[in-house]
Amino acid sequence: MTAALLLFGMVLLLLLLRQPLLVILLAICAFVQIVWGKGQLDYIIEDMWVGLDKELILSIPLFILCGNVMTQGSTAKRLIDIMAAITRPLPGGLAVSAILSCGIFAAISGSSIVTMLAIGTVMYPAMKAGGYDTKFSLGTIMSGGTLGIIIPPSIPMIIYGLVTEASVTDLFLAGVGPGILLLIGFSIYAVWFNRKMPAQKFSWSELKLACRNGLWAVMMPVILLGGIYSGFFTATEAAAVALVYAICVETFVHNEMKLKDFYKVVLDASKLGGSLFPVLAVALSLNIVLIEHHVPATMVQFMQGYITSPLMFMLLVNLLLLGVGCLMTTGEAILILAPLLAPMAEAYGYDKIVFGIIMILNLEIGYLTPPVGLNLIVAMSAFKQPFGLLIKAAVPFIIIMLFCLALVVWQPWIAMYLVKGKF
Amino acid sequence: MSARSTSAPAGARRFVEIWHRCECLIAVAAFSLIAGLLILDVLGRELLGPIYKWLNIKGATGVYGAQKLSVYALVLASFCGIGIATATASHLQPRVGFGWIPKEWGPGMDRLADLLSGLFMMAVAYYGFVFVQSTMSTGLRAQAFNIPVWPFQLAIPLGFLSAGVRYLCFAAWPSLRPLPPEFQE
Repeated sequence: MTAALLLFGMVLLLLLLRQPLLVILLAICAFVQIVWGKGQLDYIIEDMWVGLDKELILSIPLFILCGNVMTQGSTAKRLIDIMAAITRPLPGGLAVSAILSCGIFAAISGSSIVTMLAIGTVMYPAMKAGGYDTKFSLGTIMSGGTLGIIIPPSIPMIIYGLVTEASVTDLFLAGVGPGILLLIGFSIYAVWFNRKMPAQKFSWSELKLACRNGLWAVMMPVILLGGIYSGFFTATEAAAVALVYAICVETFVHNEMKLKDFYKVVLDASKLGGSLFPVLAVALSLNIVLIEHHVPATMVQFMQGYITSPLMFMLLVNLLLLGVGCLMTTGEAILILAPLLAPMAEAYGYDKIVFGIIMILNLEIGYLTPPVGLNLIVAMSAFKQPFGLLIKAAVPFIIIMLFCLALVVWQPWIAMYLVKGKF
Repeated sequence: MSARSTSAPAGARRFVEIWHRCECLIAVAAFSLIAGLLILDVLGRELLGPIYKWLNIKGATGVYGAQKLSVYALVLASFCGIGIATATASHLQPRVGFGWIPKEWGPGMDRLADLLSGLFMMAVAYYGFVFVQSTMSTGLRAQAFNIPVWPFQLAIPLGFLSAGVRYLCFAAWPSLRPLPPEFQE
């Protein structure tokens, strides 16, 4: 007990001393090795090496590169044109097209901020010019952006898969249902909110032209996800194929990428990788140490002594994750909490895959909640709007997301139908 | 970085800039190698494979050991990345404790943070070298290529050493410290 309190105190001290997550995790590993282990600190480095020696990790830089290539050109604009042509007859059609475009772009990028910026920089001015309410438009763009991490491919899902040893392909499959549920929820709200706006005439010629210009962009998620779901590619291979496709389309079809742009794209991916992979290696090393010392199993026993109802456990975990989402970024939260919470969820009878999706849905809401709601912070600088207005704009969408989260907890088949092929 | 680095000695500034450029080049080369190897492997298997089968040719279609070699390249890129993330202030940084002290203590606290991070990274680099030394002494080899793995493992202590020295540079000359990014996912 004294050692646990000391560990907690050390983490608080390191937070006060403004240390990066990498240092904090390494300090925890060292503490565990010294107090509970054999005190050989070079084991931490060995575990980092073992942790990184997994081929699945390779999919992360490839998906990052792929997303970066696709955001260089006009892919987002081409997707929006197709969605706008389809949704024109609906009241609030432009808002629905923004949401659907975010959904399709999310199936390319795997990142919330990239999705929000790629679609939002085109759609926000268009919605303003179309007479849409400012607050509603901002809420639509910010919440649509969050789909980036729930609709596969999703980098948080890959990280969750790595730290909990869950199948990434199953996680990708399980993300589809909740992603579609959120798309439907947001779209219904958009139509209801704008029900008094006049609908526009549907034009076949406009749709045909948009499809001709955007066909290559639309084919990207089809190839990527179709390849994974049909079992033709693994997640890593699909990422490699998607990268070739993205480079070919942007260089030879859209003519929007040159060789020097590729250096910048790879450099950006390197920066992101540089901040993510060492932390991932340390988190995986910590995971190995925790399992060696039966920490997750002890925590499960401790928890089951106090909480017997799975529903109560799930309620508490959801509250914890919603709180954590307000204070930490998705990557940090998954790296630290997933190895501890996933075994507990399994002990209470929840599938590790469903729990991963529930965790990501909770953290997705964290993108819209202050003080660390990343989509709020990015939207503040990208759309030059006050923070208070952005928080208010997000509220109705947060309620929809909470409703969808509750539905997935209540009816896990929404996530698991594609994994198990049955209700 | 340049706007705030005016008061640092010119030599130190030049040194960290060249060093940063080298790390970027290594990381870009490693990531490009990963992408190239995996792409060739998949395309070889999926495109050449059926053609070979059709022509009844027996032979390798993918790139031998592509995934393993890519993992090693990723280790190299990742630990070069520690230096890059330090140089560009892109490390994942929990900000929850930033408000626990008075605002005016901020610059001093940043300097102390850099000193502590630097010393900590140096210590990790030391244990990294201990680990690499033990691998060298056991003669561990990569199974797919039958080559020693320690040169790849060396990227781990070198990455921590690079980050450690850079943090100590920031502590010595705070004007070299990069501004943190506006947001971080």
